[in-house]
Amino acid sequence: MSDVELDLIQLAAQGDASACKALYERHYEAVYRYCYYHVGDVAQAQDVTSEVFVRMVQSLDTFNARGRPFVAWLYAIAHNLIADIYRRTNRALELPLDESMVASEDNPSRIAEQRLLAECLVAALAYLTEEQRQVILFKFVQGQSNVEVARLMNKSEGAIKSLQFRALAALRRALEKEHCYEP
Amino acid sequence: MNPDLQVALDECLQLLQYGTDISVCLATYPQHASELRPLLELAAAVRKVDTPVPAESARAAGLHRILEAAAAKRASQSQPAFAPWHGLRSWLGDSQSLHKNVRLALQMTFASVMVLAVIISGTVVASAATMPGDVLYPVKLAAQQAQLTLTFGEVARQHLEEQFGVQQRLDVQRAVQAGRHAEVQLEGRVDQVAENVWVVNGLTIRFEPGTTVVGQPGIGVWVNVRARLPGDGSLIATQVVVTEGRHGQPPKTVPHVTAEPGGTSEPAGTPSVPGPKPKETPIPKSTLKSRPTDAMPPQAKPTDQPKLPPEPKATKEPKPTQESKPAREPKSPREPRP
Repeated sequence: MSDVELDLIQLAAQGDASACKALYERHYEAVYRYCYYHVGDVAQAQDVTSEVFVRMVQSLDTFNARGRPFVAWLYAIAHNLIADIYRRTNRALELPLDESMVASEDNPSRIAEQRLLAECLVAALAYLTEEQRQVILFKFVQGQSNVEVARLMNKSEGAIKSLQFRALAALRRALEKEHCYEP
Repeated sequence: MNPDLQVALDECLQLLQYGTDISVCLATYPQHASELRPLLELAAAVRKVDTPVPAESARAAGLHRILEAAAAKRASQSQPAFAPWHGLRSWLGDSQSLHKNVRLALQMTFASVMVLAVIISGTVVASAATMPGDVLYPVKLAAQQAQLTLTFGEVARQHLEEQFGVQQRLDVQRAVQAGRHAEVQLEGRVDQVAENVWVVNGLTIRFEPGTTVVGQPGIGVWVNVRARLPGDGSLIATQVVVTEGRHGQPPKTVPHVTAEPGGTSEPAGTPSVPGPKPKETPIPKSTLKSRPTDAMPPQAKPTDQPKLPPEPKATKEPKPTQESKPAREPKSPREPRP
């Protein structure tokens, strides 16, 4: 964790508005993606993301880095919120993707393709374990290195290499089940 | 699970990230090509997936929510705290109006005062069990004096003085029994008078040649005693001053008696020279407040000296020649308490 981020965290813990805003801007995208690939719905992902940062402001007093990245703490908050949602609704990760969720591209075919891929990915991720889902998200959706993923998940690099192999294999099988993959 | 396959997959994933073609990677690991290909293709496909972007309005609304939460947090933190320490720390840490250096200086000063207070209080606590001869015993006496100074109200003060008197007597007693070498000073009423031995405040005090006695001694009088502990379990008086009460002055126009070798002039040590009984010469504590200071001349307090001629007390003046000595002969009859 950088000194700048540490300073921001300390200021935000005191309720400093600019520090809270800076942390929000830094981590919004990552937290949103994490939420999106867990709930599969843009509106709900936006709501959960917003709630994650409110909880962040309220709970920063209790934050203890313990050598892990700050965003890992935010993922943990998001994970708990999403688990609450699933408990309340008693449903699995099967959520429809609305039309507005896709990236704004001019090319309609690309839009359709991306939407399909995103739908498939969200649906297939539901078959994975939480660790497998996280390694797919961090490594291939967020584009983070093995070192970064290891720190986020509090595991060794070797464990991440092993986990990513199993995660990709599991994802492949899940996509086949969802008819999104043809060998 | 094949560890080689995991390593090959990881290396190929890194190569792909740098733009290497899958075929190049598969050529590097031909033995794993069939297993690697689908996984590498899948990884490449997942990397290409565009995550749906959130709406700007939602992002702005989220920011608005956390700014509200931050404001609520600031408001809750600015509430008056129960502990004064919290308020002071908040003021020192958060005040925007203070220059940074001034704030730092204040923080350093505050920290120093706190450290000093801890050291002093620790020393005072450590001195509580000391007795004469210990390094920290003066600290104990000073703490008692400070406590007396800070005690308001005549009754409370007198109660405390009695308490400390008892404590000091016990301290001296312990030091005597422990065979300590020390100089002590104590106050108290004379309980018994025998040849070369007085009992003051329950402590047996020996007189030696050279022991100075100021004032008219006797059973029941209040004395201020300076004594030394030679280390043999005894207490030897070096100076005894008869006072009018606790912290009092020696009586006016009193003889200055010096113990002579051989005990020829014991300090009122014989029954034939009875001192005033406690009931006869009560030492009203209420007069302590009205007692003149050292700087005041005796005539400044006319009520203390009735104009009636003093009754002759021949028996109380064993050595008339010594009456010529001024009452304030002792240099410091009113020794400050340590």
